[in-house]
Amino acid sequence: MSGALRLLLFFLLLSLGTSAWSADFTVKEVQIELQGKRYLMSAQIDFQLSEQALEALSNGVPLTLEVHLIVEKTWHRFWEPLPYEGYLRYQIRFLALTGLYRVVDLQSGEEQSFVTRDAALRALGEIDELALVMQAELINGESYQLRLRAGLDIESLPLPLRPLAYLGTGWKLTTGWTQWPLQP
Amino acid sequence: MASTTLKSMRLGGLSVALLLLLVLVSLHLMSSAVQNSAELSRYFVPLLVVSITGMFILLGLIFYNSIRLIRQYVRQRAGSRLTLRMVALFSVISLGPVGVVYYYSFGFLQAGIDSWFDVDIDRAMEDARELGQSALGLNQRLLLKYTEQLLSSIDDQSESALSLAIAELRQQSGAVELVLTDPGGQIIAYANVDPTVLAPGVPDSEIRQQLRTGNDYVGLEHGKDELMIRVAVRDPLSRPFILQGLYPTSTRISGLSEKLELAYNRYKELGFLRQSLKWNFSLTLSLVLLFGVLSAIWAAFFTARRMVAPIANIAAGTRAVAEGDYDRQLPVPRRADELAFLVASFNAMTRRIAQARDQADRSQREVEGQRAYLETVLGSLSSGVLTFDATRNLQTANPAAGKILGSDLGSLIGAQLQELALGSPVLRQFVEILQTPLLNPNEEWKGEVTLFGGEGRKVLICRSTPFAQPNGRNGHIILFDDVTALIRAQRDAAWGEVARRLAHEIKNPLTPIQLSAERLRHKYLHTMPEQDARVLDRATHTIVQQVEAMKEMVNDFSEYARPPQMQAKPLQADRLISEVVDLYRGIDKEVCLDVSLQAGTSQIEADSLRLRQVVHNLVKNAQEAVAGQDNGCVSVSTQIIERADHAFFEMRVQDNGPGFSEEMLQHLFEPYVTSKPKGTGLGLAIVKKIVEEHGGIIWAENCSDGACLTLQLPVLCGTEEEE
Repeated sequence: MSGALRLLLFFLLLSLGTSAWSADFTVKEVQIELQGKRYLMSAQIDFQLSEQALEALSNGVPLTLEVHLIVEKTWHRFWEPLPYEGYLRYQIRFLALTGLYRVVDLQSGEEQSFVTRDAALRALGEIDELALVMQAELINGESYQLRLRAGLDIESLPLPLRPLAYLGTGWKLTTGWTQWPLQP
Repeated sequence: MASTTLKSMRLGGLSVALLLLLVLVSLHLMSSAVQNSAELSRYFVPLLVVSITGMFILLGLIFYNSIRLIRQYVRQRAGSRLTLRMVALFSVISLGPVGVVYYYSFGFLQAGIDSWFDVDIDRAMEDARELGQSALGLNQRLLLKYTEQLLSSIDDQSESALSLAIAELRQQSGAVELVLTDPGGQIIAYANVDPTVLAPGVPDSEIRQQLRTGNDYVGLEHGKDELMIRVAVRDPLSRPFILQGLYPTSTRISGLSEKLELAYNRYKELGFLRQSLKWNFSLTLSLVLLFGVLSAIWAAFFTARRMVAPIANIAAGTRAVAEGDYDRQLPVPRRADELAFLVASFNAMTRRIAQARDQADRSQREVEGQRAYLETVLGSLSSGVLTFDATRNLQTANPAAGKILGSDLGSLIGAQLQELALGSPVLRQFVEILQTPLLNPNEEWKGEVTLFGGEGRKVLICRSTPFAQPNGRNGHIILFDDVTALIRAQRDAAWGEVARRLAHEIKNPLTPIQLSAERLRHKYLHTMPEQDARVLDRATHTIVQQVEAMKEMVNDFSEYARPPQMQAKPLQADRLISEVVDLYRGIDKEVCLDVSLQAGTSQIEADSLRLRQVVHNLVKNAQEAVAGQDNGCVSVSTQIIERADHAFFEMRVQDNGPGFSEEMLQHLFEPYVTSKPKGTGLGLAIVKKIVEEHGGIIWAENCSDGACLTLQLPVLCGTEEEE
């Protein structure tokens, strides 16, 4: 019955739990450059996993990190089409037998193994020359910006973990939306 | 109102039933999602939100219903106690089994999930992992030594020789890739099993860091299809060389390692998720339990209300019927059970009561119509009608009765017969007469009643007829007519006729008799001897005198028969009486005349000539009654007497003579009744006639020392003195 009591306590703490998460993901650097007629973006994101996420990772739970990218006018109206919107999804998983961290680019399917977790997370946080949008697609004289948000995708967690991830602490890991100017 | 309540109850019940269905479906989908349904798993959290929201709504509804029920209970509303009892009973009944099921289910759930993981299996898995790691470690260590030997075997340090040596060594060692670099990482020689791969893969920074610190590196890497072992060694001969090699493991080892890794990872992941899984199952189970409990409590409310509603309606309906609302119809429950029968019976009862009430109303209206008709008839009657119930309470009195009896009988409705006697002298006399016939409830009575009141003497013809009352006892209808005027008219007419005939028959021979007597006297008085002449003189004188007397009598008759030509005026009775009495003072010195007039200036309405005649007659009769008697005395007195609201003038003429005989008293006022030898017997008859014409009354009685005649006349109220 102690489990039931804990469950009751869990319900009582539902509302408190949602406000206790900490955003340990930060966008350290974003560089946007025009190469040829296309804008390319390089970024460095620091993925500092929470204690809960690290525990899950070390126990073989794959974590999916998602980077959401939007290029839009600085004064964007919601009905206007977006020049660019894209998602970058990566999965990191610890392999206990080999002691390696396997990182999978879910777009391309490429896999990389890292000996240490920090190396794997560092590699995950480095985006190198990602093609964003053609210069021609942007209106001259108009002010544009790149909005970027990186976070842990809770929906990709194993199902039993999702309710706790939604309702508990340490799982709402996101950089929040960051804006970066993009001048045509 | 009750129908609206039932309708709203049904509507509310349907809404909550839909809500319950929604929550139930949501919980079912949640349960499916928890059981790893791939399609539903992503909707787990929305479903959880929907379920919890639905249950919060349900909880709010139950809370609202509880508050309402408690408030109704405090106000002692009909049915609230029964509802509370049923809700409490249902809740307890449902909570018990659900709680037991929850307790054991929770335990089974925890134990069931824990049973997936066994200590032995854990140990086996760990052992398998360690075994795999040991096997791979051995392989790694061998390859580390082997790579060191490969690097030691390189003698020629020229660039081309190194390239050839590396290529040869790669082929010899079976490595996928061999790279010779300087400590700074600069590639000196490189060989790959795939000739199209022109550049080696960049080693992990951790490897580079380890080499920089002077340590060799060996580790596993995942290739495309197999497990690889990467080795990086420094030159044992202390040359500035680092040889990196990427060796494939055997297919068998690679396959087994992969399987072991997958299984171990899966087991580890499941072990980690065990707690979460317990949470999820417990959460779902708890929500289902909560749903069950809330549903049961709400169902208890709903069922109790539905069951109690007809009873509460009946209670309210009964109260309404008690307050006189017979049109109350209750909604009959659709289900045909005892309650429906009870409600239908109640409706039938109220319908019948309403019909009876309508019938009674109609009857009452008819009775009131008949009563109004009767009252109209009675009101238009000139006869007085009184009705008394069996206990002699006055029930009805028509206006004519009040008029005849001179009282407002309308205000005496309901009064006892004896209480009516307090109303007025007339009523008192009337009541005294009615006492006897009203005591005989089954007998009719008829009689003539003479009353004397403010308006004078009245003669009523009364008839009492018993009538059956609703209680079975007999009441009485008293019907009476005022026949005073009729009797007086009849009597006057009769006496007038008599007088007229007498005058006619008698007066005619009187004159010849008188003339004959006078002729005899004239012819033979002087011719007859003195003695005979005296006889003749006396005889003729007597004849003439008697004829004169008879003429007077006839004239009196004529006077009596003459129709009354009253010229009534208000006058002071005492003044008139004083004038008349003064004429008798000193006429007969042997008779004293005692006059005491106490009426003062009170006035009566009378014909002064006729009233003088009355006074003359009474005083003269009294004087004649005591004439020749020693100490004869006549007293004349007047006074005003008060009876109830009426004032009466009373005149008493008393003498100390022999009085009236009993027989005389009975017929004293009738014509031809006299005790005097020369009396005509019309004096008192005329007196009575005149008094009655003035609305008065006269009676005779024997006093202690003689006769006494008393007349009473109504006094005028607030009139001026006689002009």
